[in-house]
Amino acid sequence: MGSYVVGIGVISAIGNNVEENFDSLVSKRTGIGALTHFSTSHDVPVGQIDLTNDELKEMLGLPKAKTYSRTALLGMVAVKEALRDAGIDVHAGLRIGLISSTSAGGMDLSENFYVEMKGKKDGGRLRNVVSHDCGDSTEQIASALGINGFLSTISTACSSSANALMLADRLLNHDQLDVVVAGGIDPLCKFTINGFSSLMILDKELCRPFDATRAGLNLGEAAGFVVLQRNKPADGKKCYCRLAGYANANDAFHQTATSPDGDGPLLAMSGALKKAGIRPEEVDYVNVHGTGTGNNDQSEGTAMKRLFGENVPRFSSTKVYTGHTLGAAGGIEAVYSALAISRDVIFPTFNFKNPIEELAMKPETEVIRNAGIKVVMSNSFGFGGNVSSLVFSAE
Amino acid sequence: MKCYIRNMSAISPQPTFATDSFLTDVVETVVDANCLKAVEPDYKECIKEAGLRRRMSHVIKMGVASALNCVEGAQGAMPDAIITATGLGCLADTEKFLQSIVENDEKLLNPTSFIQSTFNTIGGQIALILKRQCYNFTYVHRGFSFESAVLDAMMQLEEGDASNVLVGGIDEVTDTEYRVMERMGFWRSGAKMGEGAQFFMLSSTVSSQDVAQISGLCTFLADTSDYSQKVQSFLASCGMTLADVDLVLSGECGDAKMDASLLSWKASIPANMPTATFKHLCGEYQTASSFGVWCAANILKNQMVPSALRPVGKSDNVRRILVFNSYRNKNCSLFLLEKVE
Amino acid sequence: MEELISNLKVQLVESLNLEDVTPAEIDTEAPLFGDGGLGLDSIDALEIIILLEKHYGLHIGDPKEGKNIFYSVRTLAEYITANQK
Repeated sequence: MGSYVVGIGVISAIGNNVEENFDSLVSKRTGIGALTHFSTSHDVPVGQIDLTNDELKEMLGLPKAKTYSRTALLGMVAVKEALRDAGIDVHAGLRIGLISSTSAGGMDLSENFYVEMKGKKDGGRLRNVVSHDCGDSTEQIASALGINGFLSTISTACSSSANALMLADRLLNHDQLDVVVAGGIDPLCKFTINGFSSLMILDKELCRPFDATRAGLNLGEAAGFVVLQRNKPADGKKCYCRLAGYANANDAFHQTATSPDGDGPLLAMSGALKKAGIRPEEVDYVNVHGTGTGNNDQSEGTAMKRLFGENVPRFSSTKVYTGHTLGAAGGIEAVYSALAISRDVIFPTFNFKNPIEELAMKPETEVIRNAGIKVVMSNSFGFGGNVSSLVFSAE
Repeated sequence: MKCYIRNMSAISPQPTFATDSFLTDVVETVVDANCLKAVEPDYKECIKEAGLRRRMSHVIKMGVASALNCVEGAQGAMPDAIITATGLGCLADTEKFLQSIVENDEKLLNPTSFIQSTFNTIGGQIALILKRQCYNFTYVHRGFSFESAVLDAMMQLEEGDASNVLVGGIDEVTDTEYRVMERMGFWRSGAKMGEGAQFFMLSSTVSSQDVAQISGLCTFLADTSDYSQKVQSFLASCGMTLADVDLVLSGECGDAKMDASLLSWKASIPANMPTATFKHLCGEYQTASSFGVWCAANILKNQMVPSALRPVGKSDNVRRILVFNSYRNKNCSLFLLEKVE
Repeated sequence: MEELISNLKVQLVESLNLEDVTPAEIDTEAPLFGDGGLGLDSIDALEIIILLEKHYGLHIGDPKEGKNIFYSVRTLAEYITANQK
């Protein structure tokens, strides 16, 4: 525990790199809007990355003729930025690992395969299905960027990439690796849009986390990665913060819903603080899971009240900017947490009017600079009861 | 790092579930010559929770039944962490939902198959049934999935956060996958597809009834040139050399191209080294190494190498087994298992 | 009404995959959700919404609206009778 965040990389609906994301976050500029990359019968706003796959390939210097899942392409952009930011030379003999996570894997391609296959026994282009599994994108990224150490991929729904950071830190503690790139990726695809639509939890308007009138989430696509290393970087070297603690638990309440008492979320949050040796009152800012669904915000808010009592720290949900990016959420929010600490700023939730009655909790709605941010908690909760919390601290 | 296998359970294409016999009655449970399907128990008996079971697909039932059976016989140990591994997850549910998107033109879709399709469904259902709010992870990296899960478990046990960890590898074959593999020429040179669900209760402390001990594991990509060097340094990290190993149990799938790295290493080891293979019994799938580990542990416990595992060379008094698995000539892994003394 | 009720029971067993229950065993008046009845949950509520739309052309936009409608097979049948054109 306690590895250092020495590099960050992100691509989301609010920017193709860290600086663009930061600018949007402090300008209260949302990336949620119309879906244009493919057609769907659902009229819902999404957090789309405007670059097409061809543009992403060009950006990465990859051959246009070759087929890559969007998952792999987005991941390459973010991992490349994170490695460069950390000044890591992959050929310098370090034991470098890549731990990625995704909930959709190569679904953006394989869902086309199923369309092509309809009614035809041998229909469908094979190149659209070979990258279906989650491991494909991880191996594509590793191969494109020259990472040849330990590779793994995690899929625990919306908590996936928080878990990737957790595993990364543990591998460093056990001296299995010198440096780990950890995070997650999810592209927008018909599968998830239809899936969340069938659950009736997609808001047709901009999502309203922690608002009394919240009516569901907006989906988004993104990739977010951090570079972690065990040893404190030398003076003058880049260092954003430390991953001070974390915990993973299972709500074990219901397949999709989180318990109304927030039992699982409370276990994750309190476990993470315990592991970090940090008291609840020392938390300066919580980047909440805050999807905007009736169930999540009620459950998460209840758990926060149970943990923090009447002194709930400042909190916000950045999903109003990016949408809910599922398996990438914990990764991009780790990047935002690192920025919150290193640049001492809180990114607001906008689109908030009225608190949930029984909770009376109000997220930050304006940018706060020089807020004295030393400790940030980041929550990621998902289907299957998987709940995770990360705690970052200033060195 | 080492850990002990308190108990284990396997639902595989062989009669391996809830039985004391060890591959003595090998059956041909084949759909056809290219595909091995699991021998399934009566799930109503194994999974009492009708409310959850009614939504479970084939792979979820295999996984949950195997997990519950493993916990049941684990000398009273309850898991402090639940770690599942799967290459393709709940593939049939994924395909069902995709097909409904296409067929119903994105309208009026039943949510159940979407909900059940997520990779962590099996781990989540195990937690729900056992009412365990503990650490819960799902690894989904091809031929590194089960390996990541075991590594995670061993770290958990060493960290002391857990005394018992439930680890499992689960994958299923579907018709669509079968057709895709057929078109890709997967079995033209002798490979078979397969499926199964192997679960292990791993513990940090030894007990006299333990099945075996896992003394180490490592993963590497098959593009590494010197496999002998890889094996040597892995065994060295466990304080051993190849001479200390009594049996090599390997997972070639039958397709020489896909087995290239594994076969090239096997060609380099001393001719008198006893060997055996396991994949002809379970078929090839991303988490098939979990079946290999199940076989190795059983050999150590029963002190015999069943002829079904095609043993070459005399191997009595087997105390240490090196399991070498390779998946699609890309993901290679090594496990060292030892007899509990 | 009686025919609608028995049809509904068949449709419920089928669409909710109620393995251990036959249509005849479902009590028309008993609560569908929670303890004491069929023990259905929020996922089943979503499936019932699809069932109503597919078989009866009735649209429920928010699962919360379904709470009273889905109380029992009887209330479901009454809702269908009252709202079907």
